[in-house]
Amino acid sequence: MSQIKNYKDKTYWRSLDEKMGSDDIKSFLIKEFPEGTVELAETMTRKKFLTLMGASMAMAGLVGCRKPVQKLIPYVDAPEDVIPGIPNYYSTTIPIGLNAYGAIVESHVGRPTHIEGNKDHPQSKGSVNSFMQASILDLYDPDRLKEPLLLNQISNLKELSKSIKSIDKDKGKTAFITKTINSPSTIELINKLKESFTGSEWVSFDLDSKENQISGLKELTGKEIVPFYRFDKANVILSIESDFLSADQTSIHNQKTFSKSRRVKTNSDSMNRLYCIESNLTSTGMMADHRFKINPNLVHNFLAELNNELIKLGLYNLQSIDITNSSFDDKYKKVIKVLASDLIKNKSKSVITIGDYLPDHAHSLVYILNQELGNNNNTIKYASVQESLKPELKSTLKLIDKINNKEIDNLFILDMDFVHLFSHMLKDQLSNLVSNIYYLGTHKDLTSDQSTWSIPISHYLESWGDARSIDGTLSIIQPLIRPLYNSISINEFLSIMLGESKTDYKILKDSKIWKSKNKSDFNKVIHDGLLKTSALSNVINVKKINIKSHKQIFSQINQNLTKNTPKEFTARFSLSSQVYDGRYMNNFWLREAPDAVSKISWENVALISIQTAKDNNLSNSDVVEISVMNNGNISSIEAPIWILPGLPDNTVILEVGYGRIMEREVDRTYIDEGVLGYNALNIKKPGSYFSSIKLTKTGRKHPVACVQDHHGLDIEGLAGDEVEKRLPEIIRESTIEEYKKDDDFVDYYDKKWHIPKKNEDIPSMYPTHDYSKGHQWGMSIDLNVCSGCNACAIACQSENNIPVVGKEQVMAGREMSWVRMDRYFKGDAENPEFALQPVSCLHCENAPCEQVCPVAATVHDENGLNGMAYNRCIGTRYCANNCPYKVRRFNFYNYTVDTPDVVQMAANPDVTVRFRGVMEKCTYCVQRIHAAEIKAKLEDRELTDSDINVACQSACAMDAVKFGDINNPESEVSKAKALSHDYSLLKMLNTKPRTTYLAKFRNPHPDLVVADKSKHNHDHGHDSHGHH
Amino acid sequence: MSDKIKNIDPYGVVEPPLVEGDHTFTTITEKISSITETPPPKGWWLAFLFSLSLLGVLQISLAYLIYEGVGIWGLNNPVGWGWAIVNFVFWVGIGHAGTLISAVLFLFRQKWRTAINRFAEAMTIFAVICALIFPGVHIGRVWVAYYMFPIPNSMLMWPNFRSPLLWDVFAVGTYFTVSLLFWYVGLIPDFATLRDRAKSKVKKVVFGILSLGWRSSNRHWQNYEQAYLMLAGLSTPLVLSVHSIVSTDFAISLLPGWHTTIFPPYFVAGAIFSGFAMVITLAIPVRWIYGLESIITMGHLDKMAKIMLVTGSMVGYAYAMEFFIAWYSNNTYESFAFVNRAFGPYAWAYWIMISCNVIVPQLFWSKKLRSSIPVLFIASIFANIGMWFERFVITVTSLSRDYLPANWDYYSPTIWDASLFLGSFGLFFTLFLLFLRFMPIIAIAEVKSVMPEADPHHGEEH
Repeated sequence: MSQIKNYKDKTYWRSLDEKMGSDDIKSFLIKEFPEGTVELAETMTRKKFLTLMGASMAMAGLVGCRKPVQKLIPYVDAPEDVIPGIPNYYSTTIPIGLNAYGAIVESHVGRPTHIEGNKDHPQSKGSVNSFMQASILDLYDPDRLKEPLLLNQISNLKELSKSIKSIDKDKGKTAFITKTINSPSTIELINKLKESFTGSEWVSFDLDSKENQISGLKELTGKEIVPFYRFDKANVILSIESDFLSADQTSIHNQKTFSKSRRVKTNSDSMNRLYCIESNLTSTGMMADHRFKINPNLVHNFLAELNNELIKLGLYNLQSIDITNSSFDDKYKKVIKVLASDLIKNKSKSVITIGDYLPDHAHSLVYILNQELGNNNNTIKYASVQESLKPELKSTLKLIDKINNKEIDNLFILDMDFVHLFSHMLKDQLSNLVSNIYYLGTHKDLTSDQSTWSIPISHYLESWGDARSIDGTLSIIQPLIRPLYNSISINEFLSIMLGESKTDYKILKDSKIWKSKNKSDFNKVIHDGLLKTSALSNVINVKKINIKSHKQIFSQINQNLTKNTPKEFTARFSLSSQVYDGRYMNNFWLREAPDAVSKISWENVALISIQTAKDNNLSNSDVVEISVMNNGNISSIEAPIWILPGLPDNTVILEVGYGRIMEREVDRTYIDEGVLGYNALNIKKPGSYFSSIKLTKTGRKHPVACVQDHHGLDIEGLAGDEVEKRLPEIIRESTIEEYKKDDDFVDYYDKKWHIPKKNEDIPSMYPTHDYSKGHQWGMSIDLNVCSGCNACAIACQSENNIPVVGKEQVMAGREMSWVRMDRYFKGDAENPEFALQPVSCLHCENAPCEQVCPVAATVHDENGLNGMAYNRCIGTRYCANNCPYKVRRFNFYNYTVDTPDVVQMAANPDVTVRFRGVMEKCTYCVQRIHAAEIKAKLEDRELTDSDINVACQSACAMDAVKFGDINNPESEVSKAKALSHDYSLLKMLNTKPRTTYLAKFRNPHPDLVVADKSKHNHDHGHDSHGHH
Repeated sequence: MSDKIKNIDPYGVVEPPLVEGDHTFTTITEKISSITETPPPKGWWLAFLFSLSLLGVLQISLAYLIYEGVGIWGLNNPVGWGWAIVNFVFWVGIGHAGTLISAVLFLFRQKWRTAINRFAEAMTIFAVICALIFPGVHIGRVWVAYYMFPIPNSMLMWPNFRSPLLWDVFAVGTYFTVSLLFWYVGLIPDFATLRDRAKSKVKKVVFGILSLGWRSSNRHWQNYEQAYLMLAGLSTPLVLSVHSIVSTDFAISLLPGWHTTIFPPYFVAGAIFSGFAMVITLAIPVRWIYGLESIITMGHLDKMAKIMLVTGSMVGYAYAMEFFIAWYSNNTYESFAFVNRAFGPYAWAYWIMISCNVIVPQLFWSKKLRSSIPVLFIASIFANIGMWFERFVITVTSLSRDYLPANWDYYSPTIWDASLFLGSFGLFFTLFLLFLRFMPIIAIAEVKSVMPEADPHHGEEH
């Protein structure tokens, strides 16, 4: 495995060939635009030079338009409905794992620019998550594999077809490995192939796998099902190691339903109570009313204790688990008592969720608990995933064994970076173990480097296909653009293998499901984005199972109890929130968006608790060597330490997915290619999510780009005291119980400043501007439901052409994201509470920025927008200095200087790309407002609330963002602002922000409220110096 | 009456003579003119070469800055202003002493000013030139800096008159213009002297043009005195206004630590403090190199030290008052801004500032220390360091930790921040050394006017 460089290897290289010393330079010379490219002739004649000059002048006006030169001619037959300047919207589907999200894609003159959720699709319901949102950038990834390569030489599909035909199909030395596949047409092709390649291995693998859950539930019910939560019906939710709000394939559905029972409008509303038991720190944990950190070794103890406690409280069907082998903190025992009573109290109105990666029997137990609590079929439905091709770890491991034993001659790797995932398990270089490797992949990565054949795979926006969501919804993947490169979709590849070489459209039309549909039905599915009759078709009710016949579950739990917490370190693995399983490694929007929890961008780190850092004399950025014994061999990685409050001691959180190495064809000034993170898979045992490790300090430091680094741990000391003091005023919160008694708690802090109550202006010497007429735009952000998932920030980046600045600039404090997701810790550093606050330009009516700009580059418009005239801005940065919210972003450099042409295609043509030296900030998506205004005017009607959805608003799956006309009392935003817990941030400055916040509520169980927590806001009221 | 009582003032204090030694009008003229007429000493050449190389550093820094953008500095998101603005305020502050000495002290009939006003004014002009570089280049798009000026344009856009940065443009611009005029008017009789002594054709022509046909006639002197008095009257309010306006860059904003009404007087006091410190820093080597000890006497240095003591203490009072008001306001953001200055991550800068600006000037209570050249020289340099840090503390600490803790960040400069500052010294000293070489560095006519010979009554009261 010499080519696998772990973290320690500091010599970064530009390409694999360069690293490997290959003399095959030709592979570098793949042209970006293989068809119809103007190439420089070998000898440059004067005439040719002038022609090119002329052409480049002409092209200069066509920034963002990347069509080959020959095709830059006016449409003779203009495509229907394509009007330059007016976007078209098409529905398509984004498959991910077992699920698929419906999307509506905005297209400008044939190029997709922005993704939003399909309102009709049950898995997106109009919203997106950050992966979906950012996936459009993958289409325009300049480093994509562009041509079929045979041994790194450009080849073609005919040769590929020939090569595949020559395989001896019956010899049984052929293996296939794919990701999870939820596409009926693909599965149909695979089934055909299985018949034709008799005796071949066919394996699916995914890091993000629900395999344990499915088999755990199958053991009980005999069906392949996964839970399908209805958090909207739940009063009490217990999450055990489950980050259902962000790291789940159904996260949008979860967020949607969760926020429904979380949202508080009046003080007579109730809200759900979320308990979270987790060994890392997740978005879900940050949202929890009660979060308890737990050593991953002790999760079974927790389950057993909870089970026994529930029996005591009347769930007599459950089998008691012998817990003499369990040691469990007394502190937790009380928690479990309360928790169990709360679950019993809310029978059939509670949910217990458990992390996917926990073993089968844990899933089985949780299923049983949910059954006994009456949750099954009420708050938890189950979705049958029978039709999908699901990941199977065992057969994957078997395949790896076979590969290691050189029993495989032909290996087909379909859409996964095999070497990145399995390098630590291979005995030798893959190419030495398997003679023929066919790789359908996205990049020139480690797998492509080992492969005989590397075939570029089409992006979902380039291909026809279909997908079945976890709930059964059937939808069509509709391309928005012809493949940019010589790529093929997975269906086309399979078709080549079948010797048919059909186009993916034909394959789709010929597949079982769609063949039966007539043209108009088919078109309707394409138009709607889904087959409406199929929505939720796989969601089933389950029959009650007889627990007595599944006693072994309880004894399996018992066998996994831990008497002593291990003294050595435990590594706890979780999937990256930025690169997922590595597939978004080259997606710079995701890479740069700081992790919701750690606020670190561009890389993964090893997260440890404060106590662990103290005990081991570790500090931030210290590089440690993390090693693990594996079959007698020591494997190790190196990772920088980052300290995070709220983690269990002696536990190191390692993010899986990073460290994927691929060749970058395009150099970019501000993006350092060497920033890869470490590949935690090198020490991860497949199938387990934690393991014992040894941790040694190397004495080196590795700089880490954290966007909130200077106070995250200032929990003690001067700044910490101050943060603690300010926090209640910045993020106003109450408990739902106190809110019932006191519904104007948000005003206490304003009283402290002697300012009038809500809706009254602070007296001013100057006349105030009259905003009572016309549309007045405003926003309301509900802090109570925001989980900090970054979907809004990436939606904003996509909509508003916000540049990526690279790790170094992030470290310099110059990240450009218009939405800043502020994260604060509260209280005890070891068991903190969390508060999140998205802050972007608040569009103050008395905008401090406007007054100080010497050239009047930022001014108000009549609709209350704080506008930025980029052309006028000279970049004094005074506005940013004077902004109390610090939401203005300055282009310190020309960050877009070398944005590759193809990436420019992702830009929204309605928004200016800013040059260096210019200030920018949230505009309330002014381009969308104006487009809606124009549309309403053309249609000769009043502009309504639903005409405008700003990017962050439509992305938010929690529906935390409301935007609209505050002069219209019927608008959503007016209604939100009228709520009693609406407040203005830093109101005493009299900036009169148009974006206001709805206060955060916590819903602690009364028996778990720590004594000193009862000290409420009221105390902060007046501390008088006697001068009033 | 006898000569012995000629310097007794009404309160009976014996004032030392302003010009020491046995100078006559002729020797004064000879002494000062010869500096421009004889080849410069070796020390001048050394200093000049050194300054020129620093000027080269300035040019490189500016060129790279304009080529790459302000990203080459250590600025970040909360800290939008760094060394550039600190340097601007620093140089403008230094530019205060010249006009104060020539205008305010003139109006107050402080005759001792005559020995130092010329090069103090020169220092002012050069300091303001250095200062003006920074607001010009610290902006993101240098090529549209002219948007700041009220120039008629096709966009029909005026600059924003509510912005203190625009006030700066006017305040510093006016100050520079008036200071330059004032300096030039004062130079006219001396240019005429040099013209009359000039031996080369070039000098004759140049000084001839510069002296505007000065013939030393009675009428000329009358007009000259009138003009000088009027310009002094005009300059006096500018001395106060320019730094008051500069302080509004901060005071008008709503940032804790910037938003304080004490800033205008506090900035003016600080500016005078730093200006005088710079005059001392420059005067000490100049009088030594050119043998001017009898004209710039210990008495002059003593008086300047006293002014430093007064203004340094005023600044110290302002520091204390800021703290008091921050606490008294009961505004948590305000009090934190100041506590953070003294004890936060920039505490080191704060305590450098306090030591240099408040503690060091206290040495000048002692007559002995005031008359020690090394002490004066070192203390004046400390004062300048301290005043630079004062601006640094104000600008950076407030920005780095303002209202919402989530966007707090630490600012540290890059090599390009430092090189631009260093380079500005190159410009300053190059100009100053050229001034020393080619211009009358002491106001010949004015010094003569404070010598006993100029007194028509020969010290006798009538």
